[in-house]
Amino acid sequence: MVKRDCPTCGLVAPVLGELAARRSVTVYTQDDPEFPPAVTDRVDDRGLTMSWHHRIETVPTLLRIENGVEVARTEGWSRSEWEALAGVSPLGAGLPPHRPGCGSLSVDPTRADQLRVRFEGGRLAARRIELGEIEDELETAFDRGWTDGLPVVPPTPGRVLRMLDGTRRAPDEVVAVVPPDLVPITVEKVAINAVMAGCKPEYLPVVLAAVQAACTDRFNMHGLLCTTFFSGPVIVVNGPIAAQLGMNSGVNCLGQGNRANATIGRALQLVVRNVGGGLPGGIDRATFGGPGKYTFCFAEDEAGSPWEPLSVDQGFARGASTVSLFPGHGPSAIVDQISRTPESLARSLAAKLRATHHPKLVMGMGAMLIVSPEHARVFAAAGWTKARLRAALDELLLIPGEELARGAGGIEEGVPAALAAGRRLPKFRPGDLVIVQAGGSAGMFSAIIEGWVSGERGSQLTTQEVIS
Amino acid sequence: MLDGQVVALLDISKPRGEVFLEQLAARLTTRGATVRRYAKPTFTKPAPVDLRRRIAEECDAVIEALAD
Repeated sequence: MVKRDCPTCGLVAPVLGELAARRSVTVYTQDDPEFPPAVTDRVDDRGLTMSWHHRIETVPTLLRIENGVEVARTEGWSRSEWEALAGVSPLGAGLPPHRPGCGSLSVDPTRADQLRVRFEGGRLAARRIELGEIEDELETAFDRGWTDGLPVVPPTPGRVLRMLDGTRRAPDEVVAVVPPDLVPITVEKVAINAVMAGCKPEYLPVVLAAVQAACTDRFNMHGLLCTTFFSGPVIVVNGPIAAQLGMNSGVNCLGQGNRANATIGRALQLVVRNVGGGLPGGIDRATFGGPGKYTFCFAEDEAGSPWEPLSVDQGFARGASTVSLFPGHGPSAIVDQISRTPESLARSLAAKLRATHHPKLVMGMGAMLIVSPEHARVFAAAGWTKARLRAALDELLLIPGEELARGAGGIEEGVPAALAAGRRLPKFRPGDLVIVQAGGSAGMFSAIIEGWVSGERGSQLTTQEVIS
Repeated sequence: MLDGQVVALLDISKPRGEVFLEQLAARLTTRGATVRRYAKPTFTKPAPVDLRRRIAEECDAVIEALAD
């Protein structure tokens, strides 16, 4: 495999003549069918068909074919490797012993997408949409209702095929059934929305896992979408995949600026919109919604955490890569810059947790507590495990019924009197308070993501392993 | 008049939904309809398939108190 434009190919052109005199040699040329002149058996590969299908990355590449099957290859020029591969010696007297090759035209960035579509486009089943010459592709996406209000990356066949390289799963595999319209979604359709969201191909397995988790009865994306409440899916990524994708678990981890955090969460929302048909003002009846419904995704700071990660709490082995979906909105802040004992800090956290949703409402909705490094340090220094903190919070969040009863404190909202009378009620039912660790190293704050209706009646934290 | 018509009232289990449905039931009955009451287990999830089928088989029309 050669191209005339490559100096190394020019260097080895006479060697190919030497080889052709001793062996059966066919040369595929990528740019000039007259090259190399010393070989008569030349094949015009300007269409790059052979180069593509043999996955040639460098020219020259010398392949040894036996009975129609490739048994060896070497890239660039190396006398010793060429001699060994061809079984001919000596070769290329007077040439330097080795010289690196050049990039194959089949992997040229300006051609690779076109070639991929030409040779692999058959893998795609989605309907192709042709735009008129004067149509702006970004404006078209807005006009046709495919965006969340921000521009989307046009999902061209080349981009979708590149995205599909991010997974070993077949494009036509059905991943989930997406609410509210209950539409079966394939890997390809997820890939299309991942392209639109701005994902890199390596993010696709995480997006696939998030879609699968969202579309379970346990997570209940249908209800979360339809509700008048603020919430949307909050994605927490655990395990080695987070670092591999360069996800942010530290400074500004709930904010803007990290491509993986931003686009993975957005891709899930675009799937619900574009495949499930969940449109704001249509089935989505949120009174306010929240900015997290554009995207809400971060990684847990496992390396900096004194505690076992969320994935382990959820029953997965440490080292497994997972996504966990929590129905939430926020965050809101807990400030405590003074407490240096775990008891005091736990009381601070509990005071704010008690006020989630309404200080007089209990046992109906969950919350995620994101403990910052500086707050986690206080607990770690005193030897408090996550279980110890949870137990302390559970105790602190047992609230006297008379404070919660309807009418108590001059507030009509609250727990029915019969339920409240003469007992203490827990703010959260077992399992409804989720604790993770993330955030920048400076700042004695923690964060609360308020949940939505919890338990089987609503939505429960749902964890899915990421499969490549 | 709604004589002979069977109307389903589907309570989605939202707070005070039953207040609204009681009013509807009274009015429908006055107009001659037979009212049958159904309820979803939770307002957060779509009605189970079996429940939808029962309503379809047993009633001529359905009114669902959909939201808050």
